[in-house]
Amino acid sequence: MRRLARIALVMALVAVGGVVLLPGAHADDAEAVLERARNATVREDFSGVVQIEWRRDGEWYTAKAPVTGTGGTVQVGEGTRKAEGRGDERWIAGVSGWQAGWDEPVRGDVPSPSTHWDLTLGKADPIAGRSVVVVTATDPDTGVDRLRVYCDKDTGVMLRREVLDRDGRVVRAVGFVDVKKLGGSRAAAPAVPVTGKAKTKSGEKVDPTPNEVRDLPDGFDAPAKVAGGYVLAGRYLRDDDIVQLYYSDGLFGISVFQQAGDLDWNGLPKGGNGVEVDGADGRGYAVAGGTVLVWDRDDVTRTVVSDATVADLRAFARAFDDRTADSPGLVEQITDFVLGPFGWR
Amino acid sequence: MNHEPTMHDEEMLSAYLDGECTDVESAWVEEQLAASAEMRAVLDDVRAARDAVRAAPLRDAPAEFWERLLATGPEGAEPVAGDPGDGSDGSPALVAVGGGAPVDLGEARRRRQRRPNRWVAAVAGVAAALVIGAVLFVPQEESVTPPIATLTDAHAVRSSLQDDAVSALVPLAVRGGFGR
Repeated sequence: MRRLARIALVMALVAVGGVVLLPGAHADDAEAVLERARNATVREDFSGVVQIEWRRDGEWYTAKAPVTGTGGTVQVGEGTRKAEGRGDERWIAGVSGWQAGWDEPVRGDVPSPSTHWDLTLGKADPIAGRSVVVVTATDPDTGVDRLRVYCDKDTGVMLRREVLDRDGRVVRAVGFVDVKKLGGSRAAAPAVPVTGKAKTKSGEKVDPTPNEVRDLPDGFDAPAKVAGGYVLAGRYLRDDDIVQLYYSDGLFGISVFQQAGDLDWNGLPKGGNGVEVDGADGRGYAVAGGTVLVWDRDDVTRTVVSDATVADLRAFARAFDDRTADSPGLVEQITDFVLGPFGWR
Repeated sequence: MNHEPTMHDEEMLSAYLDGECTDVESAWVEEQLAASAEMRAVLDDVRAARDAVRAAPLRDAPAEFWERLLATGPEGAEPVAGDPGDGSDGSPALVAVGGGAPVDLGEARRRRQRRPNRWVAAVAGVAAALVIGAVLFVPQEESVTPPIATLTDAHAVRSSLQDDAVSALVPLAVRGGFGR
């Protein structure tokens, strides 16, 4: 009888332990699936068609592009709109030919997705005829799903990524709508594109590849962390003197571009919506390339780009401004006082 | 009649402003004011000085002030009685300061009247220099137009290095959706 009691106790402990540990094991599994998906397109050859879907002002927009993966080289698009990636190098093709888009290793690390998100692994319907598993990222504060990543069961290649708003509705997605080849035998990588430098409107040649920098020019800040779980993963200076910061929370990447000067509203693309950023006027766009938010504060124009929602970008922008805000110096106050009446500041 | 104002006239004008003149004195002042631009200018000065003094905050003098004042002499500054230069006859009024040499009050008043002009000119000069310096040397903030389509591409490139390369790069291969 005492032996039976001991067995029952052990079984109860195992059961309790299992219940407690199961979510953790799921999160680890989900994170492993995401990590595997990051590198799968380098390991596997593939070809097919990918579609981007995005929602703007209540309407859905779509765009498609052919994609191939050969010997570790990813190619997207065709004709004069295409891009290519291999290792740490990226190339972009336009009407004037290929340009280098990136040519150096990335040093900054991104945080683990589970640091900021609750991750779960589950089943889902096949995508483009392929069996998949789905990783769902849930906001631990609200319990709302904010991202779903569907990965091929066999190869681990990511087949679809869905971004959901704060109400749990899909507002953006990118994924395969046709898979011609996935996995199997591998082919040799194609030749590296022959590149030239881009030209500005004035004809000046510029290098589109940003340079990683340790120190930023005066007037620009790069907080190491921004509220919402975002960690600075890189700071760069472009040839056009625009500073680029790259933040990530493990699932969403956000680029912050900063330029000295007030925003010239007349130069912005048409469309978009007026957006308030912590008291400052801004403009938001939802386009194929992601969500864009532009505003100016303290004589610096900021543009943030991400595939996160406008609401999330606004929250990020507010937190970023809070981290970089400082009171004007004495000279600036005197200058404002003297020039203010003339409307020069 | 163009009467050259004297210290006595200033005192009379001050009393006139304060309503302390008799009817006869008031009539005389008003007659002088009607006839003399100088008297009207002095009246303006006296009124301005009176207003400025009334507007000034009250402060206690430091203790050493009274010691220094007493040390200058028992009378401070007083008119020299019976002196031909007391101004009563229209000649320059003279006073002895601290027991020293007499001072021409007319000349002193003219200097006092000239002094504000010099200050105004100096302040105006400094203000003009500040404005010119600000225009020449303080860099004016220029408006900038972010190349949004280019920046969107730059984000896609950077994002593709640490996220899934296919989903990050595909936006580079499709029409962006920006209008012009």
